[in-house]
Amino acid sequence: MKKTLSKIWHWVRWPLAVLVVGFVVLVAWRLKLLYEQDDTNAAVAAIHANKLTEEDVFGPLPVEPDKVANDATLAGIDTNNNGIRDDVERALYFKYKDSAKEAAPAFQYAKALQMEFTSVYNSPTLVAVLQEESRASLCLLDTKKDEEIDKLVFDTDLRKQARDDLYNKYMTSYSLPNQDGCDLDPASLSN
Amino acid sequence: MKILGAIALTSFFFLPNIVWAACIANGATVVYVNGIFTTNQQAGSDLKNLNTQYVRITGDGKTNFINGYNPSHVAGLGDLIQSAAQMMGKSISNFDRDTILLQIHPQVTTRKLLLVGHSQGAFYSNALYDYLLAHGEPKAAVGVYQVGSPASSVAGGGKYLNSSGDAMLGTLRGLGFKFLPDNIDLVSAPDDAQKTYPGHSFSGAYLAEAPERVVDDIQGTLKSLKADAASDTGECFTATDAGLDYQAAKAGFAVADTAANGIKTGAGAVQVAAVAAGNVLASAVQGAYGIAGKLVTDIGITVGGAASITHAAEPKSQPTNFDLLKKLYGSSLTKEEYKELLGTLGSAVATAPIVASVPQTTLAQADSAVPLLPSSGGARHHNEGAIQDTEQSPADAPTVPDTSGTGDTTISDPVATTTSAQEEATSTSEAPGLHLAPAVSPVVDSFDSYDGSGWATYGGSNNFGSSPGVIKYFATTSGECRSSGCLSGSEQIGNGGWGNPIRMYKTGAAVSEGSLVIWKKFHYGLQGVGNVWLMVCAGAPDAPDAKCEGTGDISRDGGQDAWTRYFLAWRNNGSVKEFCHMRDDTDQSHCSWQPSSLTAEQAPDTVVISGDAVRPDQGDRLWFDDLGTP
Repeated sequence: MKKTLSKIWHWVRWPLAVLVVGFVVLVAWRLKLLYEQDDTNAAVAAIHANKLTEEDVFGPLPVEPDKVANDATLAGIDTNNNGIRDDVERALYFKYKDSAKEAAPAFQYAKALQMEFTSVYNSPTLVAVLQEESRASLCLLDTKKDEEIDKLVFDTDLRKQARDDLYNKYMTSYSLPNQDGCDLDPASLSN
Repeated sequence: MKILGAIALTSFFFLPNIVWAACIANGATVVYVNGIFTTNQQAGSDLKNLNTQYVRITGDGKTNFINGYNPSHVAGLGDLIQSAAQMMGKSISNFDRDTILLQIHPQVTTRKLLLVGHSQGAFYSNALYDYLLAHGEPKAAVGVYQVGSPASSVAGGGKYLNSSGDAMLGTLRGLGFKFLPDNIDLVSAPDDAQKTYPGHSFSGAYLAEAPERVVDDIQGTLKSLKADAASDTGECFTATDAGLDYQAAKAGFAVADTAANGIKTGAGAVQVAAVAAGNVLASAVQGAYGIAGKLVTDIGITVGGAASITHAAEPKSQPTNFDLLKKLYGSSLTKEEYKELLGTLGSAVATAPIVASVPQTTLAQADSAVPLLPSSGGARHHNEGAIQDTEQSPADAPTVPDTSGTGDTTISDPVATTTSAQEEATSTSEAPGLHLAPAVSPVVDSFDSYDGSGWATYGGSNNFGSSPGVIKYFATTSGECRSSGCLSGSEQIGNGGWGNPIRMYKTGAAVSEGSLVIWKKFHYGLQGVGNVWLMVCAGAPDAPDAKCEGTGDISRDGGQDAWTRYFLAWRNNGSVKEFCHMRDDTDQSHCSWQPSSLTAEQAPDTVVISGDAVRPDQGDRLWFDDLGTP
């Protein structure tokens, strides 16, 4: 009996070892995916939590950035760290400075676009940013303004190319929000 | 205990794959399917704009909008073959349809479902409809709506929107394809007018110019749907099988697409490929299959170890396009079909290469050249004085030319690039015993002393505002004409700043077989010209039983400020009447004769001239001169 068992063990030990190693690898791989998923979930939550504030609309305006320095990076210069590139913030301010009701949605859309440079590293984060862009678009309710702000944010060949590359790498199917567009209630803005 | 542990462990592995299904009665889902050569970014933008316009106009916040992305393959080559097949009522593969189905399956949770297809996406919307009805969706719950559609029908009897100003559709019609007729007249906005095919973009043309119509059609279709057999637990339809065959194709496309996209020449390649698509379709419809055998071996695009896709005229071109695409699209594609569908792709690629061996800047390369974020945040300035010092007016705001469109790319003229195909096609399509069309026209007019007599107008009220029937074009001797007087779009007629169109015709003698020429010139002031056609009709063009054939849209043929001559000929071939049209060429041995809707018994007796100088007040101009015989 013992001899038989020994013989069986002789034959099965290596396949069994392979199975055990495979199982361990699978568990490690699965754990890695779960950790990554946790990170992604946190990043997606951060994107959706990145709302426009009154400070973004009414706070001090940054100075015009040096163009060379601003274009030296994809994200450009955002000295007041409000998620809107300084040159874009200034352009929108001077276009809508007479109406906060008009300026706020424009800032919100620009802020969402800027996240394509700062927050996208996989498909879920791209979708989250696209959903925020769409929400801001619902607040603007003027697709021509969308286009104008698109041109302000994606104003160099490298930025346009980077945008295309991001979409090409991470595009997937997704659904869009269709209500609660504005981060700041227009009724709460004085003019 | 061990069993419970095993179950828990198994769940641990599969938990993320468990999806709680539902197919509820409330709400509805709109799936947008993009067209050929639409970039990922543009498809996303189209969906966002559709969603925004829908909510803006309807106030409906309960309808979900999702994208069923129709990807481009092998730098456009795969799409060329597929679209050529679809235009001819075939499909070489269900891979893209299945990809869309797999994408949307987990996101479709409402019983009411509307498929919105744009351009080539119209074919997929029909295919998706058929699949859905065969796999669980009730007929009453699914609708289809098409925009810029080259399809011959809308599945389920749905609505569609095709513009007379859609240059892509105009080109396809000019090639002889028959599909859904135009049902709206839209004029391209300035940005869109600069594109290779103005008037065809979903966002830039249809949604920009007729948002209410698009949204009304969608809303109306949604209202007509019924949420039969809704369920809070079941899925809306059975997903397609993503089995080994699908996965193998997916892996193949991943390699080929990456290789192709990695070397194609930037944004311009998309537009160039769009032109090539037109050429391929031209070749297919012309039946120029005889030369395919030579060209298929000459042309092409090949994957060399997934490292390069190059013009296959080079010696290293192995395997052939066919071998590559056969592997990618599966066994349903035969070499004969491939030859038939592609026809003269060789000339298309030769004259307008889809890809070239110029490296494209990748994101990784961009990253190395331009860091994503600044290395330092820079000084913070909250100084209003500094703001004043550097104040920038909106007009000075940083802007760059929009190169995401098609305006700045140098591409081959679609008409010009088909010439070689047409020439070679002649030798294969010419039946023995056919003859040349005589130089006889129903109407001739030098326009030297034009006073409108004998000419009539037609068209919608938008064309002529409150003065229907009044011909606004007049003869001029301003020196802008080719000879003496000519028709000139120099008179501003209003319509809110838009207008000065011609929709004019004159009836003369019936000519069973004949030919004519006319000269055309245009000038870009602000938006250029559109809807430029030359036709002959059996009967007045606005008569219900009129039969017309002509050049298709020739708005942007030739360079601006140069006179271009158009030749139109017709002859009988058996029971049908064939037509030929060419630019700056009246040699009928160069003709690629196309069958028409006219029978041999129907004799054209009317010449129709159509064209819009969009903003004559801003310098857009259009001239015609010397309508006569070759």
